[in-house]
Amino acid sequence: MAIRKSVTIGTLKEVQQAVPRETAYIKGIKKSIEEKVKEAQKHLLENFEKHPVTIEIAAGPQGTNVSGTLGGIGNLFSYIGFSAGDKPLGSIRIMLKQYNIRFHHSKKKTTINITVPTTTEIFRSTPLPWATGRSWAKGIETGISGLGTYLNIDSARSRSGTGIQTKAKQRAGRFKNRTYLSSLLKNYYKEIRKIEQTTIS
Amino acid sequence: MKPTYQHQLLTSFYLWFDHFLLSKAQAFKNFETDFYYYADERIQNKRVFGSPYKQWVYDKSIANATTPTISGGAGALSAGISGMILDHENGRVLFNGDVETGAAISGAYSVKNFNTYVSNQNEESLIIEGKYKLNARYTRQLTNVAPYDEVVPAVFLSTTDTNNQPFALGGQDNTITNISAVAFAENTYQLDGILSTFADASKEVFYGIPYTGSPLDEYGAVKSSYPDGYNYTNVSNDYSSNIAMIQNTTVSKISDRMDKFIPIPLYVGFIDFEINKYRFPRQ
Repeated sequence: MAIRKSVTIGTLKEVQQAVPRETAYIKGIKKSIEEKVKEAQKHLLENFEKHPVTIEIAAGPQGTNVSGTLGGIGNLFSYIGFSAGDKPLGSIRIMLKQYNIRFHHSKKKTTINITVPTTTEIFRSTPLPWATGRSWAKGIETGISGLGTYLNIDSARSRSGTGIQTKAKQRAGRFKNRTYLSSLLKNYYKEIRKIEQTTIS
Repeated sequence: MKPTYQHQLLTSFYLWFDHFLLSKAQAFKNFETDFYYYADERIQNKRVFGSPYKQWVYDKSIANATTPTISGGAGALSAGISGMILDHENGRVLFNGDVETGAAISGAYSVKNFNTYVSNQNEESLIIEGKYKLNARYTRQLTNVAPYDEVVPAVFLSTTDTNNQPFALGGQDNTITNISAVAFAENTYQLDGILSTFADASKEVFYGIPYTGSPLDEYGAVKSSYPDGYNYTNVSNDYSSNIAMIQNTTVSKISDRMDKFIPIPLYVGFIDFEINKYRFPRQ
C-alpha cells in the first residue's frame, strides 16, 4: 500500500538545491549535452563534406569546377595555388571537430557553456599559399584573385602540375563568389546556442 | 545617374585612407626641385611645367607637409598669376599661353610616399600586367614625370563586395563593404610601414563626405569650394553624423614565390578592409 506523504515547499527547495550536486545528475547532464553537441557537429561535418567547394578542393589538381566559382574552367585547387599533395581541408576538419563544454552548477540551476571555434579562427587556419595573411575559405565567399593560377604554371617547378603557362590574360570572367563556411557555421552556432539554452528533464 | 551610397563610400574611404597614411605614418617627403616644360596634347592653350614627382600632398591638416609653393624668375608665384593652376595629381603647374616655354620655374612641395588610386582592375591585372613607372625618390636623372600614368610606389583601392544584413527593426541594415588595397612598395621598409599602419586601423571610423566633396577638380587643382585650401580634418568634421566603421583589417604580404611574376622589382602587400555602415537602404 502506498504511503502518502505531504511535501512542503521547503522540502522541494531542498531537493532542488541538492540535485546539482548529485554525481548521477552531473554525469547524466554531461552525457546528454555531449551527445547533442556531437549530433550538431555531425550535421556540420556532413554539410561541409558534401559542399561543392569541399568536394572540388578534395579532388585536388585533377578536379573539375563543380562549385561553379570559375565558370566551369579549371578547378579551385589549382586556381587558389595549392601544391600537388597539399591537404588544405585538413585544418578545417580538425577545427570543426573541436569543442569544449563547461558546466557551472549553482544552487538552483546548471549553466552550460559550449565553446566551438569561431568563423574568424577557422578562416585564420586557411591561409592562401601566396598571401598567408589572407584566407582562401573566406575568399570563396568574398572573392579570390587569380594570382594563385600563376603559381601553377605547367613546368618542372609546377606546384599542382595542372596550370598552363601563358603570357596573355588567362580568363576573361571573374571569380564567382559563393557561400561556404560562414553559412554552415551560422547554422551550427544556432544549434549550439539551442543546446546551451536547453532544459534538462 | 545620381551619386549612390557606393560612390560616397569609396570617395570618403579614399580621402580617409590618404589622410590616415599621411598623418599616422608621415608617409610623405618634402622636395624643392626645378620644373620642366613639356607639351601635353590634352591641355590646349596652356603651358605645362612638370615636376619630377606626382601626387603632391594637398591636405592642409598634415603636419610638416609643404603646401606647394611655385617660384618663377621674379620669386614666388600666387595661384591665378598668369593663370597658374596647380595640378597636384600629375605633379605639375599649368600657365596661360603667354608664359615662355623656357621660363625658369621651380617649386617646393610634398610628395606622398604612396600614390593612391581607385581601381577597377583585379589583382592579377594590377600585379602581373601592370606596367608602372617608378616615382623613385633616389638616383635618377630629374625630369618631369609623365602625366596620367600610374606610378609606384602606390596603393590601388577597389571595392570587392557589398551586402546588406538586417540590423534593427524599422528597416535598418548593416551594410558590409569589403575594400581591398594592393600596395606596391620599393622596399620592405616601405611595405612593412604601410601594412603596419593599416593593421592598426581596425575599429577606426571615418565620416561620409559626399561625392561632391572630392577635393580636386578636373585639372587636379583644389576646388574653388575650398577657398582656404582642403583640410581633411575640417571637412570630415562637417559630416561627423555620417559614420562608417572599419570593423576589421587584414594585412598580408605576397609570397616570395610570386616574385618572378612581377614585372619590376616591387614589394607587394594586401590590405583588406571590412567597412560597416548602419543605414536604411530602402528609404
